[in-house]
Amino acid sequence: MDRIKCLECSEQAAIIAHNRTKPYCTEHFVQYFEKKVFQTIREYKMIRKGEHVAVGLSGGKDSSVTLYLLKKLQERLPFKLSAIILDEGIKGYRDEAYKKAKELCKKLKIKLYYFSFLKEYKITIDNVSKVSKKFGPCSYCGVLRRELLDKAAKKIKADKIATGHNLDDIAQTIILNVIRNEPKRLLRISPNSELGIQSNKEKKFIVRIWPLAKMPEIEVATYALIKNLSMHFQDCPYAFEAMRQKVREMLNLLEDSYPGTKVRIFKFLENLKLILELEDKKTEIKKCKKCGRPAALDLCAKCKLLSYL
Amino acid sequence: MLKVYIDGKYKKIEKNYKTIEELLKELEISKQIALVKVNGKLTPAENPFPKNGKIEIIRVVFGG
Ligand SMILES: [Zn+2]
Repeated sequence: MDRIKCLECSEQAAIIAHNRTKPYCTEHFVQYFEKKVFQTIREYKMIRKGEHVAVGLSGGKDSSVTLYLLKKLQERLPFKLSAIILDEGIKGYRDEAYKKAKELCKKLKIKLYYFSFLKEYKITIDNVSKVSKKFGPCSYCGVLRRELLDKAAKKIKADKIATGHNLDDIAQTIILNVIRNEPKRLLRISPNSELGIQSNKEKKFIVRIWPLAKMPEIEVATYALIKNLSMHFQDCPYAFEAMRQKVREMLNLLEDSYPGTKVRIFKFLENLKLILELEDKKTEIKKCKKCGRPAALDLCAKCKLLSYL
Repeated sequence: MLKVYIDGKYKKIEKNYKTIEELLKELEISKQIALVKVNGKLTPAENPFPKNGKIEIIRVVFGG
């Protein structure tokens, strides 16, 4: 049995990309990967000339690859690029990630803005995990991260927030919304939030874009390894949603047996949106009674959670 | 002599496999979350199992 060769040259393959149908050497994989990400950015009209895009940097591989590629895109498209890192207050976990994020921004000459839960909300996730009885730390972390990233982006006058969501994340979120019977949340999923079926509340948030939306996690990791970007694979000590973990395992098993499963799940949602062409115009926009930010109920999710502490 | 490392930890392998993928299957590690290096070079898991040298399996996410 011979070793697998690159599709484009006579070198030995390093990875089989594209649902394991296209073997590439490292050089041709890099070309394939970059081309596909830039195509996705164009297809979903993610970035326009002159805009200010802030990357939500975590220090992990996905957001690092996102930042690295947007920097590369600046060679062809003039736009402003910054990075934001949020410190949730998780000892030992964030410190390392912050160091990596800082190094990367320095190397790429990108301005990095730092925001912390402690300064904004007077809490840390370490602390919440000790005192909160009603909700787990991940509930607080998810809601507060989303709000703080939005707030931070507005503060630095960014037009858009880019995050490192990859194809695996998206396929998992689609399945999770099916399992939880959340059709509205399902239809909101889009690599460019402007194009998702948004509620009026959603429209008040800064536009979110996912340049890696079509790239499987393993390809993002391969690119990060080749480009010597952060390979910070440490998981959050509070672990994350147990159900997402199960869905991830299930999807990976399916993908091993039926390559292309994740792509088809993503396409299913895109096709569903086309068929429905729904407009969610009916949700009334309210303002949070406590902080005045957009909310679906009297209090926004953040103020509601904080009120339980 | 063949040496196998999983996430940096040495793993004793006593069987012979046709492909690296076969080893991953036995270890219940999905191809979707593992990078494979043979003698320091990235390699598709579908490649033949090497007789000697060093195999590194690097999991990029945990619990999957
Ligand atoms: Zn090649």
